[in-house]
Amino acid sequence: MRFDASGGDVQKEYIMLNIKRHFLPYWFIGPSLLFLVLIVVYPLGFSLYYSFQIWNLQISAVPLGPAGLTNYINAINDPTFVQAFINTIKLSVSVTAIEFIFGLGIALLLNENLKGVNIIRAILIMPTTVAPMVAGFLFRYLYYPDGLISFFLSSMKIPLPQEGILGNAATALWGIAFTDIWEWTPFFAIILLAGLKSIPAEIIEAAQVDGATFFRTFWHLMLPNLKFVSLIILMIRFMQVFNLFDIIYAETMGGPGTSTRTLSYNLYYRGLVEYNIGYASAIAWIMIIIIAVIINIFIIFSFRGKEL
Amino acid sequence: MSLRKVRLSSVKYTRKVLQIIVVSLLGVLLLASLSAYAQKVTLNVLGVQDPWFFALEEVIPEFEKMTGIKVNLEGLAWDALQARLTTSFITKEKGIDVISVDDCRLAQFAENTWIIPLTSYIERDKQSVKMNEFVPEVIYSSCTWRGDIYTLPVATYSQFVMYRTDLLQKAGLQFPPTEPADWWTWDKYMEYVKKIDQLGDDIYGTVIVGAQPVPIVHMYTGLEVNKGVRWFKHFPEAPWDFTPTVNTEKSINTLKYYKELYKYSPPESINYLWFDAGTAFAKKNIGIYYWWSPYGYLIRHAGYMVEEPSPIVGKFGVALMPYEPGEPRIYSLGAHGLGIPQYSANKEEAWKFIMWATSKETQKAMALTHLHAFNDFAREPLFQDPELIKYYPWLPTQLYTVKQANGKVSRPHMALYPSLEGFYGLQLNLALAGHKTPEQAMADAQSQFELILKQNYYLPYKGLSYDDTLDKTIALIKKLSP
Repeated sequence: MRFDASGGDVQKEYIMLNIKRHFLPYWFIGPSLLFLVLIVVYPLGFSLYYSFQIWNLQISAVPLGPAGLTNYINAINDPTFVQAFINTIKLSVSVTAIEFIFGLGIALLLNENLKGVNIIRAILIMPTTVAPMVAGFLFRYLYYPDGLISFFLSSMKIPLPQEGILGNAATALWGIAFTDIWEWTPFFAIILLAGLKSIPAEIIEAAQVDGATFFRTFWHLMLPNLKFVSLIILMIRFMQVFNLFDIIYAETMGGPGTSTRTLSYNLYYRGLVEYNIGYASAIAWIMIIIIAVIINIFIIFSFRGKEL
Repeated sequence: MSLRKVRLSSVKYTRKVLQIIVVSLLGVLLLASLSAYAQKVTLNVLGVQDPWFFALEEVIPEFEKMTGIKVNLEGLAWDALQARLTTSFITKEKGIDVISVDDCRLAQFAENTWIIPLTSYIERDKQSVKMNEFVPEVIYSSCTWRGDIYTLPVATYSQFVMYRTDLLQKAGLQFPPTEPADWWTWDKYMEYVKKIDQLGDDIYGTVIVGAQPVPIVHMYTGLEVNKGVRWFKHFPEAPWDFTPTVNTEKSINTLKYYKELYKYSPPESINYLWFDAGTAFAKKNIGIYYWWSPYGYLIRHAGYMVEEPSPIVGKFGVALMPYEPGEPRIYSLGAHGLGIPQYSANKEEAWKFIMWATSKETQKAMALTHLHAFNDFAREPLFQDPELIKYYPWLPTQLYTVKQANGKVSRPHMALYPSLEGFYGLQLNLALAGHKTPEQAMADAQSQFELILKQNYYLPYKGLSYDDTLDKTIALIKKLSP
């Protein structure tokens, strides 16, 4: 603090400067925060409010009054709810795990600086650029008994259901899973490759000089260094697959029967076909609660002792 | 200040003022011309991308030339269209002037006053509209709600049978009839299917649509209405009683029949959407099937709305649906009608467009566009036009099916239809896939119908019933005819 004859002015100036410094970050993040509130908080609040209201556009253009917990009870008592929940969890866990394993394998290969790796990387990312709905329609016809995928599998003597992969309850969900795996494994590969590239080369070289095998290097050096990136991407991708809808819509519409019906498909049907806004809002909030619980448990166990 | 300086500054001032006046005048002129340009009306028309949409798209320049009204025609897939429309209704969007209304949504749109009745417009312009040309069954089934006309039909779909002439000949079977015949029953149809199926490994007797929740209902209800199955105790005649009647012996037997048809279909048809069945008939060796009438012309093409002909051109015929002895001959009917949203700012222009698009002349022009992929008429003279019969030889058969149709019975157009249809389709698909017996499926359909109807105050129904009969529609049409 500078002392001079006009000590009071200096103090005022100092206080103003501190205030500006304190609030300046908020001025910068303010617009983004406002945007976030508008596109996230407001719709969440809107749907939470209407999940406790009777509002079915099939019978009334306006809400008919409070419903209490009726929408939630009806959503859980829906004959398709249990199967939809099981399918959602099955899909989320298996697809995320498979995409991670394959993505990591591809990342390790790309990390080897093989010839033509840049071209391979460019080709690899292409499936991720295809809109999921387009991928869904593409694979729908590839899975037909006379489609390309069925042809390849048959020529490898793999028995296929006569209804086609998507027409049989035992294989339909895997058909959907494969479409998603085809599309998003490159995403895992690219992110994990970036993670691998960030590991200091000296550590790996030192291990190799010390005679460590590839497996030991991978297990003791690479994987621990990839842990943080891996957990983040697993978490994000799990949430995305939990909400998967477009591929299901394009390929099976939740059938045959309820074998590929998921919570998000139920939400779509109640909200955008039946226009039962109250009911659909309740389903949305049930999904939010389920995924929030799962993700929080995941974070607690995965990031114990570490700040996110 | 010297006099010279005063004069100079005065000139500068005047120049400045003059500049301001000129610029202001130019600005006003510009605004006026922009405003005049903006006043030229543009109609925003939203429709589903069925064949009628593409045919209409080709002939719209005629309307624009005739009226000076610009038309912005936008097509969407069915689901996307419903979502867009519903959002626009809730937000009271003024920017949509004409919409295509699927008849199964008419009750919901009308009850919520999202679209306006057209009855008064028709009465005022009866000389141009010529209601007497419309087949009354179409107006009744697809355009009216509680005694008012809300839409005029731009595309009307009935159902008929399509068959492969070469496969039937190979099987030694008589071609099915194009006029009512007592021998053409559903039992006979099944005989045909089985006999054709035996012709070879790569030959299927028939093809069905199995995808849930909606596509299977469209095909199944065409069968069940013929077999005397009804969804409710008393509808659409008053008093309305929505007690479900889907768990009956007739209903269970119908589902068993449909399952039997599936045995002679390509196995993957359990997942077939609407167009898949038509594509399969056009490309595989399938003997006989029944479906919506647009497939009469769609199967002539190798793909949806493409020029390339399919392999079966010249090798198929069209016939009437079979009937069930002891039951009335009733066929399913669906339609897209053009209506005016409540919040449109251009209702008069919208009405002009609807009159034009549904007129005899425009519908004929749509049928004669280069693809010849539209004959979904609702005006009777068009079914009898020799120029059109040349391209669509099954028009007389189609007219019969339209006149025997009752869309309000085959797929009851009440406000909760979408919810009921979704659950019904799921049960049908579960039965088809073998996950439930027909008895279980129908029992579950019945109990879920009851639950949905009770939850939404339809059971018991406490609203106002309307005695919705064909005779009333005929009387209304007479009143609105020139």
